[in-house]
Amino acid sequence: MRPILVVALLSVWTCRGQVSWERLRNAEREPQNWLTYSGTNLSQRYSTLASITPGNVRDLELKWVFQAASFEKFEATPLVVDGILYTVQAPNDIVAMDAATGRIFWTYSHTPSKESRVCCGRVNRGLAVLGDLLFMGTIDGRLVAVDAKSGKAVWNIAVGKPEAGYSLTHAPLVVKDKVIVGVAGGEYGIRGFLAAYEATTGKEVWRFNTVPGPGEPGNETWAGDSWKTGGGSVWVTGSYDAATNLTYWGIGNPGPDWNGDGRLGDNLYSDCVVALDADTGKLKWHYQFTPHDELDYDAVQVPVLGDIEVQGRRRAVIMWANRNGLYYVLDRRTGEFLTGKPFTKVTWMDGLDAKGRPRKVEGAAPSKEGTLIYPGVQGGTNWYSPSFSPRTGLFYFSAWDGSYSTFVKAPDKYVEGQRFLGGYPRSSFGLSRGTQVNTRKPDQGHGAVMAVDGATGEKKWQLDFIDVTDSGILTTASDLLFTGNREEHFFAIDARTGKVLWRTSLGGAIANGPITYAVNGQQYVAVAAGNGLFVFGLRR
Amino acid sequence: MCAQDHSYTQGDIEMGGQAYRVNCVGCHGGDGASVSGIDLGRGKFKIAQTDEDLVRIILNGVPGTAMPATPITPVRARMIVAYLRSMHDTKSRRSVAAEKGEASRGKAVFARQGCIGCHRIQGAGGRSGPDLSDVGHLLRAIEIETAILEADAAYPMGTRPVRVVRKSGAPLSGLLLNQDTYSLQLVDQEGMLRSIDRSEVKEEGPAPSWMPSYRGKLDAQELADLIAYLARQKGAQ
Repeated sequence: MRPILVVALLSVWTCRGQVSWERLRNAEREPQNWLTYSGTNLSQRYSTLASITPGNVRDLELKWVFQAASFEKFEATPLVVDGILYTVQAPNDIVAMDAATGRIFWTYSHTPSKESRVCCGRVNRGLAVLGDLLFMGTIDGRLVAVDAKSGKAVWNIAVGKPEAGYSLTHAPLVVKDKVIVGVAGGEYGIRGFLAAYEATTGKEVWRFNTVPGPGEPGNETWAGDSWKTGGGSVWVTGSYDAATNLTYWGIGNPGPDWNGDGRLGDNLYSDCVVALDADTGKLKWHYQFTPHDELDYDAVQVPVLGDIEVQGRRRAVIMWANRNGLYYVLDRRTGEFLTGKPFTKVTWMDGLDAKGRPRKVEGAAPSKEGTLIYPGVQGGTNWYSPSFSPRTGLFYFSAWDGSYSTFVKAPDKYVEGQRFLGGYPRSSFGLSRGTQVNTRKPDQGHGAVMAVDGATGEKKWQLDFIDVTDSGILTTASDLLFTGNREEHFFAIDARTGKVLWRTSLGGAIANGPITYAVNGQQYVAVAAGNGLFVFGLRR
Repeated sequence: MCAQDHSYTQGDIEMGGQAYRVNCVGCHGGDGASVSGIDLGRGKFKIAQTDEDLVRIILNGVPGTAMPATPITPVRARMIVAYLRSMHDTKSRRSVAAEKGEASRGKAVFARQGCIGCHRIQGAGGRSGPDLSDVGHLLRAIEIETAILEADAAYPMGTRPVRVVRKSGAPLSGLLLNQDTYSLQLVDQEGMLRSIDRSEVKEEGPAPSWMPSYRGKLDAQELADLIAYLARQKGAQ
């Protein structure tokens, strides 16, 4: 009788406010919530909420604003669980709010170690939830579990050494009873990995080295000891397919970034998508977008999973617009390459073979005097969350169209905790926030929202901006697309035509993905801009 | 040692100059020599051997001194180094101005030559050109001279002229201050700040500079006097 009693008690404990794995696995069944970084495990950032339509979107009004007590870039995607919105105030404060009003329930603050080293801002991209626990990676290389009702830490473990450049910036991914995270630090000569931790205790269950060591398959793709400092960071959340029990992750650039002389070989699994058994972390397959990368073309994009017709056959695929300027479709069960096609000007390669291996252009590599290459160091796209709408069959992403950099190669020596870059790029676009003023000339490239056929990569429409964009994209079942840009605009766009239906200026650049959710029947759209989180809904 | 590790493009130097004016000029001054015992324009550095050393110093500061860490990206720091290297290069360039200028006479040159019609200093003057109230803080003497003599000189004050033809009304030229997908912000030749809706624009493009070259219009002494006057403009103290 005792086991039955335990089960009964558990079912009581999980009946309200708790997020069971069952709920996460079927997140698309509760569109009023936003339960994972990318909405569902398929990471389509597509919502079936449809109260806001092309016909009434002009009636959107601001419902509430949360002003973060932080000047760091606001890259977090919130979670919404049964009327409560959780987000991260950079670098590592969790804030729990009433999703309808913005009133704060509690704040959890983590003060990162002074040893923290981050290449590109003290940022955090969001949270994961399971049961009554929220999970957050920290810029000092820790993973923290916090009680979702009280805001008190339950466990707090070290994942990587901050003094050696290891940090956690992406939202964790929960699969069953495990929390999966990877480490950032590709600019510090780290040796990257993904690891799964027991959700209730923080105990490590498995680890996958994104840069294989001696005896591990792939180590032969690294010359000498270069694997020890090979990078292969992880800084954007992966996806999960319950049908295959595989979890998919995009892996970052090899280190040093711009000088591959000391790491001859393909440098697996840098710039790859890896498919891992979610229970064991064992590699099922991989596909490398950019072998032996010397241009910092991280494959750190969200793997978007869908079931679509490709070449006359319905297939389970991954759709991927890569930083290297190409759009790809892969079979997600086997990793088979199906399609690869440039979506912007690309000069580092001039074709793909039947297996999808790129043919590199001779001389299109960093040099002592500098080599001008398209796309630039920030890529044709980057980490900005894309979206796939099963209704339109289109894949949507933020692009930097026509951007280029001059890549300079220089000698470098690894010193723990120091940047390990092997050169530098020169670009006209900055990463730093600084002034929002833009007086650049048109030939320096620009931002755009691109819509391509999910199966073929054929461009269906493109909405151009003057400035670039770091915004993610959300689509809904009413064929609306929401996105923003560095020009501080937030848009509702017709997902079928690219026509702007509504826009507003939020007074700060948008560098995160919008979400939608509902409370008491009212649909909301939330996006962070500058240092604020702005929440919109229809006028009532 | 002053060996140059890398060749830099004009674009690097211009962007480095902008970054220098934002991050460094407050202490080091436009001429790079405002900190006692340190002259950034000399091309030689006491504790930096290479450009990499300079980048590290900019990013991390110098412990035990007033030099703080600068919160910019390594790429931006490298462009500042490009600019510092160019300071040395342009310093070695021969000036055509007389050796010594007199600021009080330069003020008269500024008025006589009509500079004041377009440029403003300490609240007096035109607005169609950049306000020069702090030009002495931002630019070195050789850069001021180049701006006076070269009609097509780069725009060290961070602006570039554009010409806009609107669907209604006369064409408009101005210095571009900002832009986005839907609008342009500029200061026109009458010195008015204008925000123009792109939906009202039928043509847009670069405009020739309306800053004339003063080469041949000023003798060497007048030029030196004018530079001396401008170099003294260091903004509200």
